[in-house]
Amino acid sequence: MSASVHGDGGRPGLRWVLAIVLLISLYGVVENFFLIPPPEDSPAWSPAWLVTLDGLVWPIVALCGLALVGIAGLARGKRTQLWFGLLALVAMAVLVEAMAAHVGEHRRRFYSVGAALFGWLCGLIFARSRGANDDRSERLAEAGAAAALAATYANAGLQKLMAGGLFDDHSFQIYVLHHHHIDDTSIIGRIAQLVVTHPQIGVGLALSVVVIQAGAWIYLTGPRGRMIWGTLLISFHVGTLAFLHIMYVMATVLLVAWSYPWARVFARVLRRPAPPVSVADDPPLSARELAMLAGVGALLVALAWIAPTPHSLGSAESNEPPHVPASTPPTNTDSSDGGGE
Amino acid sequence: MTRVRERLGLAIVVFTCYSGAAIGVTNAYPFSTFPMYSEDAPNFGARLVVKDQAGERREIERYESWTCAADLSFDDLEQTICPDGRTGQPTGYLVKEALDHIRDNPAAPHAVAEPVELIVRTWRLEGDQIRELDCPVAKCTAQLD
Repeated sequence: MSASVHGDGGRPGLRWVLAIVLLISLYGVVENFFLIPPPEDSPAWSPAWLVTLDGLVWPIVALCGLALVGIAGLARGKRTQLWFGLLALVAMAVLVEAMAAHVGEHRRRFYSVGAALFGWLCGLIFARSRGANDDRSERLAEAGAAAALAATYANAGLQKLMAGGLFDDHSFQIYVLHHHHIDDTSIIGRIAQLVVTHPQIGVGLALSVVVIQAGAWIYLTGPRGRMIWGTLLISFHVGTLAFLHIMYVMATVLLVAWSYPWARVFARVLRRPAPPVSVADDPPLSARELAMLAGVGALLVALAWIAPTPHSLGSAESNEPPHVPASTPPTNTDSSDGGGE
Repeated sequence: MTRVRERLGLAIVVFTCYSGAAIGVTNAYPFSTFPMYSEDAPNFGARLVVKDQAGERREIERYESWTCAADLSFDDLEQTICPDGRTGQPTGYLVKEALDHIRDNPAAPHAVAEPVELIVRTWRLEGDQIRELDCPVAKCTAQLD
């Protein structure tokens, strides 16, 4: 089952964590817009209107304002958090895609927090449809956010599994050489050197990465599964930081917040009575309700497959892209992601 | 038959829905397949670094008070030609960060800068061996922090 591991009183904290991480994400977007100069040529996959948007300051400022209002309304909670959350999601979606056009590549660290917000809102919408009270609504929101966050890792694992390139004898070795600081003499540097000199260690690490990522569905199996797999996913991020100097701070913060029973941990640290175990307000779904839920999910997937995206719009324009010189080769959209947050 | 609880039912649907939608759109916020490091096996690695007169290689961030003989263009750096006639291709965002650092730390009035060489250290996988190359970029002066 996908029960909360946080006990009573844990979920408002999660909503705040989500709001704070969204704020960090918004700051990161603004930083990318105003501190990083755009590439000489815009990526071919980006539609002209996103590139045009990037050139104007006022739409970016207006979108940041809307995102801020949305995040504040989400943090405040109450029944209106659904509408504020949707506002934040839409504003962030336009901002992040415009930023991708600006910096010339997708910065995927922003997508993890977007996924968590998407899952949180799915939970709230589902709760509304079932007439749940505020407390039960936030339990469902928490479960939705955990599921979407887990799905981001499962997707990453699936991609690596399908391509298989990471399992090559020298892949991890090359990645470490490519990303690790050349003059690192610390203990981590010595371990990285060990990976470079013994490629079989790299193969083992690559295998463990794929097992941890592809097995992320275990995160949804219950409190123990969430704690164990959450710890493994956090370890994966720590390993990525140590070996490749790449850190997904926002995703790691969400994992730390979502994976452990913090209300109980704090009660133990402060020597207060442990909060009561969450009451069993997790009613079963009838076959009809389950079919309806699956149907809505399938509809959303179908919509995602046919709806225009920046890539499909960019491709449609590619006969005569107004913002890319004809001689410019297409940008590799699968480039490795940015490092620090 | 055991009936599925609402939280588990929701979690399964959101998990599947996110994964399915991401495969459909590839990259459109908040959906992504997160395809980093899932390409074909890499056959080279490259980093833009500093080589001092003693041949010691260090990260660019370790130096300040920069002056370089030539203008450093991002595109030129990405296409640095190596002694084997092929290009060294350091990661774009790392090159951007390095260039930002050099621009943000120009020569200070009383700095004791030493001559250094900016190079792209390249590792090429040739068969089962990794060949190491220093691909020259520019002659500069900088002070070790």
